Amino acid sequence: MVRQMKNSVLVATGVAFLSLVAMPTVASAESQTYATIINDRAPAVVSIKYILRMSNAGEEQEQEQETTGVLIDAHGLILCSNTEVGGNTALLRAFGMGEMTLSQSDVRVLIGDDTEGVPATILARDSELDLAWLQIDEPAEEAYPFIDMAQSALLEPGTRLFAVGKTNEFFGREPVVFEGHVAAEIKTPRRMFVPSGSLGVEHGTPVFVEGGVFAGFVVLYAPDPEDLELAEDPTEMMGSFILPAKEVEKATKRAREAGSFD
Amino acid sequence: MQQFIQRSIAPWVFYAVVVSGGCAVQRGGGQSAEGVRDDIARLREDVRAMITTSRDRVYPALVNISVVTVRYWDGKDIKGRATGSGTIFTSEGHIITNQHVTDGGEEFICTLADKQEIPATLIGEDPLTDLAVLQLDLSKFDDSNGPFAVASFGDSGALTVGDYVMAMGSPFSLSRSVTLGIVSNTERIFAGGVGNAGIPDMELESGQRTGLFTKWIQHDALIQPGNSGGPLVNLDGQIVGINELGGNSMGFAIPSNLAQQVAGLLLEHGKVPRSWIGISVRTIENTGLDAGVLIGSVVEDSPADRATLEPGDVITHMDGEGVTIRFLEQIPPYLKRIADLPIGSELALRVIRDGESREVSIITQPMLQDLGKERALRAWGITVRDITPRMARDLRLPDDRGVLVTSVRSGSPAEQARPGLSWGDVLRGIDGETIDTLDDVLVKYGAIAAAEEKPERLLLEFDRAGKNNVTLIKPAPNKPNDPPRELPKAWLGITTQPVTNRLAAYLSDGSIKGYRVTRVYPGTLAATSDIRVGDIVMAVDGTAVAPRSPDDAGRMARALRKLDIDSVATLTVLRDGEQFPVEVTLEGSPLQQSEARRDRNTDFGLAVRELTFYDRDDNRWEQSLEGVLVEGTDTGSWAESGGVQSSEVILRIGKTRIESIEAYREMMARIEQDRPARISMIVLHGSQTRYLVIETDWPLAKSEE
Repeated sequence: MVRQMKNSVLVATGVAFLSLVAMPTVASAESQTYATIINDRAPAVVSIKYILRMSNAGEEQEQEQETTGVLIDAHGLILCSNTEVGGNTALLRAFGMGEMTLSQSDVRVLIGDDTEGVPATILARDSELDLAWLQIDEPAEEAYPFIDMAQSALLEPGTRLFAVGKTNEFFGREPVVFEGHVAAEIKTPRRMFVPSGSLGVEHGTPVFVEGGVFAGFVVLYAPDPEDLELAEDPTEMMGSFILPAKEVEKATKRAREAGSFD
Repeated sequence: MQQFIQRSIAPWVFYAVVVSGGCAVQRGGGQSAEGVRDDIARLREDVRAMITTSRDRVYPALVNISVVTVRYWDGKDIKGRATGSGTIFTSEGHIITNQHVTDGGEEFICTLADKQEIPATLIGEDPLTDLAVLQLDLSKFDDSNGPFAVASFGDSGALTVGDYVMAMGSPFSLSRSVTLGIVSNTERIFAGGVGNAGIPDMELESGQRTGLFTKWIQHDALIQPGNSGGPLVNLDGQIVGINELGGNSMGFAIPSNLAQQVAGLLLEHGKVPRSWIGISVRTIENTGLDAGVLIGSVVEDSPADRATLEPGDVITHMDGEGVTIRFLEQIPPYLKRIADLPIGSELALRVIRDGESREVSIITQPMLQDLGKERALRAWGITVRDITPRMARDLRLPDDRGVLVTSVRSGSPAEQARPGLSWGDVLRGIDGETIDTLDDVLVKYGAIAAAEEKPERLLLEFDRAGKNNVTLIKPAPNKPNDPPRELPKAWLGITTQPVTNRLAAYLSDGSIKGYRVTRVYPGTLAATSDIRVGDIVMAVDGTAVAPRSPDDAGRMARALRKLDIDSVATLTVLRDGEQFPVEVTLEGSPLQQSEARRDRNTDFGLAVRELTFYDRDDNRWEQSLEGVLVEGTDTGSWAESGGVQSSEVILRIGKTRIESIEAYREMMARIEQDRPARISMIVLHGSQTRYLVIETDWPLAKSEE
């Protein structure tokens, strides 16, 4: 009996010792990911300010808007959500405001702790994928920090995810890391991933996996014009999803080849 | 006597004759039935003649007034239209109407009895009585058929309850109509309700006080919106009132005696000079007082205040004459008596306070204008108003210097400034220069707008809640950019509907699902292929496209968009029970209406955009049609006045064809430089081509930018 107890104590002590040895390894991987995202990825996440003008039956209204985007090359090309820069007219049609038109002016990009912003122009949009591309009008001579979409990770349900957003102006536009996972994969109307928790809150934010590898982009899916024609409740056809990195890269390549960035 | 019978007794005589005539017939005695009928017919004819005669003395002088107004809100000037009525009362073409008809007006067009439309100018306005005088531009009047008619004023003081009156005007903007009624009350005022011993301030839409000196003529001749400013006429064919308010079968007219006095002063001075001492009064009912005028309030730093008068004091004599206000109806004439004194008059008052009497001497001051002029600083996104001494007093400002910010447009440079401007701020300085008046602002604003090189930022100084602040404003907002283009994607010129299980059972053997072609757009590559309306597309390049539900309408189009532009796709099609392949060449998706380039011209008040494939198809126009599509025109603008309408296509301006938005922009830039008095346009309106002429008015437009 005593020998059995001694053996049990020895085993328990051994397990505890092993646990203590293992824990710092798990903790350091997570903090490494956070560190990579905050130090290496977050600087590429920018704020975009613009004036949105809404026109409807001769009446006009203007509002200052602010959203988030991400630098995708060293020369000031920025990717953001088309909806968040006022480009999603399908959304207007879905809510019965199809006659309203939207236009943008005074587009400015704020990088780092800049509070004034530099002028930029919206070059192209892909409403189907909820993507829009901006270019800083007079890029700085120094290269901008950017997310390299060529280095990307694949997603599957259960993958742990980190998204980067920003606090608002009052709180200094600091980078915020949201954490979650891939809750589901959908294949219709296209291949996208359902984010868990608060990950899908901010459209136009990049999403990373462990190690800070770029994995996708948070977008708002709105119904296509063909779907809207016969839809009874268009709001049932909308939602926030993660567009996989490869799709984002393909769309950017297509836009470049179409001369949209010239 | 005859006149008395005609005016007041005729209807009762008429009734009595009808009734007694009927009784006589029934009794079988007295006048014969035929004789009674003759009397009735004659009386009817006499009444009718009486009405038409008096009508014809004023009706020909009645005008319809069409006004282009400017209002200021949301940081900009907004044009609108208003209509009302008026009466020509001098051979020089002066017209009397309500001030709320002319309020904010920048253009006035009067339609006369002979249908001539004559421009008019504003001679003067008196908001306190809601009266205004216009004058016709006689150079535009065609007198080949004789001079225009002129109406005359009658004595409104001679009116009694029950008198017949006619209301003339343009109800609901319908031209020239007459209604008949009687006087219901000759001294109507609008009291404040139980327990209120004073008359509450009435206000016009602009916030300006009105009705201080008016006891209205209440009548039941039906009046509606549009009758405002039109005459109330007695059976002598004279103006006895100017219709001002109405509703629930009641009408209220400003008495002609007051209107005639005000009109004379407006003609002489362009305004109505009035005296003021700075008190309000109330009735002595339920106060225990037997006589006197009870002072209800005293304005700070007014002549009454400086003479140490206080609320609760009782004025028993004014210039040696005993005065008493027992009833509300006595207040307007008392206030008018003071107001009618020459400015600077010495007013001797005997005043009682706490049982002790004293003599007070007050020198009257000019009655202050309530509200200052207002203007829009459109580029900055604010509207501002001159501060009058009264406004300064009411807003508790230290003085009347500076201009009051009355509205700020959302998203404008004024709102974006940090700190942004708000309603109620008092602008004190621009770019280091002190601003005292609206004129100062307009001079500075105009200089900045006209400068070739505008400063990046301007320093503004303003007061808010007693604190002096500064801010920086961008003097000119950027114009909206042309919208970015959608990435073109592979597109086939057809529309489809999903064929789900239920439909499939009727259209095929029930096992086939896909997308039924509902339209093939003419002029597209799809139209040159073998695809037909009614075909069911089952697969694209061998991959099935089966809708899961009726909501899955876009699946086939999405499948096509994944392919490349200019590539050839093979559709598996079911037609008449047979399946076969159809090759189609995919083209780039056409321009969407949301991405069409737009142009907004503030001079003409015209918004246009590029024509798109879908516009041409929706309207069944040829795809080769060139032009720009009108999205809208501003109310009261040159374009609207010229007859330009939404959804029209501008094909030509002058002799120049408008093939594109670039051509349109070039043309409008040239017009802005040349400033022609008018331009012509050819527009497509549905299936009709129309010729339009747009008149311009350049100096007015330029002053606002």
